[in-house]
Amino acid sequence: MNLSRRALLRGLGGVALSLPLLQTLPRVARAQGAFPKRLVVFFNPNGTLKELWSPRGGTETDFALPPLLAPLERHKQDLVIFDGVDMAVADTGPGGPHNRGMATLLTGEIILPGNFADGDGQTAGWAGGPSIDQLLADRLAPPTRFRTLELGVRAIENEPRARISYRGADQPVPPENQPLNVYTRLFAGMNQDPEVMRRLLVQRRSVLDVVREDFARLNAKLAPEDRRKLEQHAESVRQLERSLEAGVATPSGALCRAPEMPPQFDVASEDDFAEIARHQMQLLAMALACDMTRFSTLEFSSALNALRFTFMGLREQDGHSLSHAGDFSAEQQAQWARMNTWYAEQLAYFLDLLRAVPEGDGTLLDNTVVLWCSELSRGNTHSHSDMPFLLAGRAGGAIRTGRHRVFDGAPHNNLLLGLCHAMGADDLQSFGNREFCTGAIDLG
Amino acid sequence: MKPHCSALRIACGALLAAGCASPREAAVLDGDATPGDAAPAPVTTPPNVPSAPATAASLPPPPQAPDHCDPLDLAPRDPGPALIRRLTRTEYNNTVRDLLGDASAPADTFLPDEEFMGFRNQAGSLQISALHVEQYMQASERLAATAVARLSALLPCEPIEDGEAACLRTFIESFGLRAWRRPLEAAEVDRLASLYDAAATMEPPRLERAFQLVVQAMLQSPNFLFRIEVGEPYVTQAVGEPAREDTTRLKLTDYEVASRLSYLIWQSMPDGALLSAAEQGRLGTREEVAAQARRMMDDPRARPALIDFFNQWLRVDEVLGIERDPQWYPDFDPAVRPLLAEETHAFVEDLLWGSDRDLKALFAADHTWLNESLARFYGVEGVEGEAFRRVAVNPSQRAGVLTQGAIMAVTAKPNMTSPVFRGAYVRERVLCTPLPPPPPNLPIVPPDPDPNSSTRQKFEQHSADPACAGCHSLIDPVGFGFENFDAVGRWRTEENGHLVDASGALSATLDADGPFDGAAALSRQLAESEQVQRCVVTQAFRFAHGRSEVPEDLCGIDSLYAAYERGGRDFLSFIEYLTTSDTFRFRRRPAAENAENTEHAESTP
Repeated sequence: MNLSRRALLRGLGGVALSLPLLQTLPRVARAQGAFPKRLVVFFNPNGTLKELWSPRGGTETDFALPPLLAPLERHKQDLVIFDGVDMAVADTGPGGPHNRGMATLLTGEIILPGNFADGDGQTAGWAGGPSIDQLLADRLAPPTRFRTLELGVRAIENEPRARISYRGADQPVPPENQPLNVYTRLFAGMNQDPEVMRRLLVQRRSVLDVVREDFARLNAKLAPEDRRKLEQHAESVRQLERSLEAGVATPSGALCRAPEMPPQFDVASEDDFAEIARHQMQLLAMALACDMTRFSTLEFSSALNALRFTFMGLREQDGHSLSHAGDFSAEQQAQWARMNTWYAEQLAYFLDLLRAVPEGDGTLLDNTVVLWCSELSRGNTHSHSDMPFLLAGRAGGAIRTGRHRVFDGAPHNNLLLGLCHAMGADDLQSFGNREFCTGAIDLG
Repeated sequence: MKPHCSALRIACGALLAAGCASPREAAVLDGDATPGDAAPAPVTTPPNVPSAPATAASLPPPPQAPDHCDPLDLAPRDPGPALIRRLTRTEYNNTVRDLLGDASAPADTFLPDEEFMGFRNQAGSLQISALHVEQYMQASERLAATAVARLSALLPCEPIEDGEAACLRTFIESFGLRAWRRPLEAAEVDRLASLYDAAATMEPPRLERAFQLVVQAMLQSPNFLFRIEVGEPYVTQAVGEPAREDTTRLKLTDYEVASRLSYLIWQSMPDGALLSAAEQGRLGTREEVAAQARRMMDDPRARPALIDFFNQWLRVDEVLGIERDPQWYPDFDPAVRPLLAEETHAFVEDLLWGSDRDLKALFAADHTWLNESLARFYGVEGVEGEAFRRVAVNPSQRAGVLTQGAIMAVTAKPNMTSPVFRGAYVRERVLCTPLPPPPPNLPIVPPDPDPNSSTRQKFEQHSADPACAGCHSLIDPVGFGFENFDAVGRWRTEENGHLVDASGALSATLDADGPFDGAAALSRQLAESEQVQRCVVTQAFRFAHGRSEVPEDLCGIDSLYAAYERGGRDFLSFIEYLTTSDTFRFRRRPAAENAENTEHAESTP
């Protein structure tokens, strides 16, 4: 089903958007079936209302979308909706349920002890292992300019409750919340004279060559516990060097043109939340279309957020408070349902953007898998059972979509392992903590 | 029917009622389960991971008067663990300002500093991710581009007379000493000087190009971004005895002490006087270090740097970002936020550098600092002009920092006050007692503002229900004391038609237990407490050393407290004393085998 260009450009809420690049993006010339697979994690916090989210009745392939998924109707055939998948590993270990949820969501590993307090005062540390996006990037190591991309929309805190992506145990990867910064990283060089860019690269290379030597010299002198800090810095510099080098490599990079430069936002703004989200989604879709990266996360706010949807007129209570509305509090639950519906609308819009990019006989959406998730199943009980996991996109044909799959308490490590296989890491035997991984869910 | 916490819509954002109805009972009462259902799966913990207590029936015992020093223990004082510390954003900005004369504050756009236990300068938490290094790269390029415009002023030599390569080398040595806060090794100078060769193939002019590359390389180096500490062997010799080398500790080098002093007292790099003192070996003794500390505290840079300790500890600067719900605070003007912050900053500055320096006044003072606009906000008459000045407060209403608007606002919600937030704040920040965690999976719902009841009434159930009271008796009675202050810090005597009742009680403290009526009385009660004053010292320790205390530190912290009291609780004197402590001037020595490897590695070409 083709989306009309006007609808695409209008976006949601009737605001006209300009997407010049999508109009002009040429087909990336590749052999049939040889397009790379992409992974996007699409996160929003504090759980949902599963009773309004899960299809009722019907069969695995013939079902109706319930109210909170209604915005995704036009993408129904590209979805896999999960029921009965538990995040069992999140009920283990120190800390409160939000922190445990965040730390285990993409890692499947038990959270580390530490001193970050959850909303109830319980403390924990960072995650105990790598997240799926970082793990796949390391394992599959495609020659893209950016190993991974982490984007945020008001995910501004520097605590476990604002991190889903981990390079490894105790190594959180922060998201970039400012669309202009994302634009600058991704596209600023694009409209430049290639000779200017080449000269800049030569200079940067010479500088980083000198910096790299400092690590070796220091490493010999520092105390053992300091070497780990130094190694983190060194690894980050190596990553920077690789991304600078890959930035020169052309096609598909050279065929891409930069989108319009976004304005500068206050990343903590509530009023601009929706607009920032739109810019981030457009930038991410563009980055994927240009094959600048294949592994990405888009984090809408953070667990325990004090975020009000003021742009929707919800000025009184923030999302976290609303997620805690008792089951008998109809008005608050209705507001929470509105917020969750809005997140579904954002996902639907993002899928529109992916679908609008032709790749061979299909689209970018066909070659992508989007994992939509949250760190809780339900806000007012902090439950991690029956989590709201949803996949969109076929990962190049590895995922059979248009299905409602019901499990009976399958650990979510199994889903993450199945996702690794679908992305091409089919030699992986286990994901995350082995005690919680009992075998991949086959997504094909 | 037994009432339970989810029916009470209790604030979820600080501490919960503990020991309320079990999750099972709550589920039944909520209609989510029937009494015959199986109990929910218990929370399991793997071995070696500390588990949260299942209920909060186990309250902490009341604190004992600490006495951690063993008079029979003559071993050298363990300086505790000390990780190398990445520059914070403020430190980065100040450092490039002092190093290059560049006041553009590039770090304002960097990722926010990771916070831990309330402080944003903790060594273990500060990271350098791929995003960080990109930001450092871009900042160093901008700084170098600005600096090259002043090349002749920054070069310590004449390139035409001395030769460009030689002059660049001289620059690397002198600039490097300041940028990396120590003399560079010959090999390091060589490596940086090779950038002059690299510049030959780049766009001319060659010297300007090389200069920029050198500045960029120096500012992206771990030697700049981290305060590197290696230490040196510590040898002592008593009269008539052979020289002995300390096997458990290394002494910080004079350059390393210089950096510790400057980043503590100025949040910036050492100045010329400190670097000279280090070069001449005059930062080795306690007296030498203390003399520098005293000199530095008279420098204007000390003011924002040391006030920032209070800023972070007491969460003052959070007031800059608060929002208030226009339905409940319709005339709240965001322009008052920086004024509220300035009130507390000016108050603290006066306590540190003014004429009455007893820090007991932090919580007990009968004055604050206002300007005309802020006075108008508070409804105080007789203050004219925009300069801040000291103003007496009504001692029956206000005392010290806890009753200032910034603190009252950051411990409230956008639409109402929160005795739970305020009570927890006092427990954690002022009394240094973390509260016991509540049981997991407890359903909690925050209360709505209600035009008919008072805040106190909404939280009554916490004390009425004996299962909740166990924990909340520690929190709510403290927070209720602040009920005369609304969510923007203004005084009120009635709320929604009810007279404000600000009576409360402190309990489970070392020496501050007792009832009080109102926040001023509570604050004065806290000010008199040894537990509170020890907490001030402990918080300062964490800020100064960039880490939390470990058991090995506790004897030293007792000494710090004793000195603090001896000095009349003069904060600057206390900081000076802190800089003379072993923890400040020594590092743990790595285990012997590592030390050998280190020496071997260094001698390998």
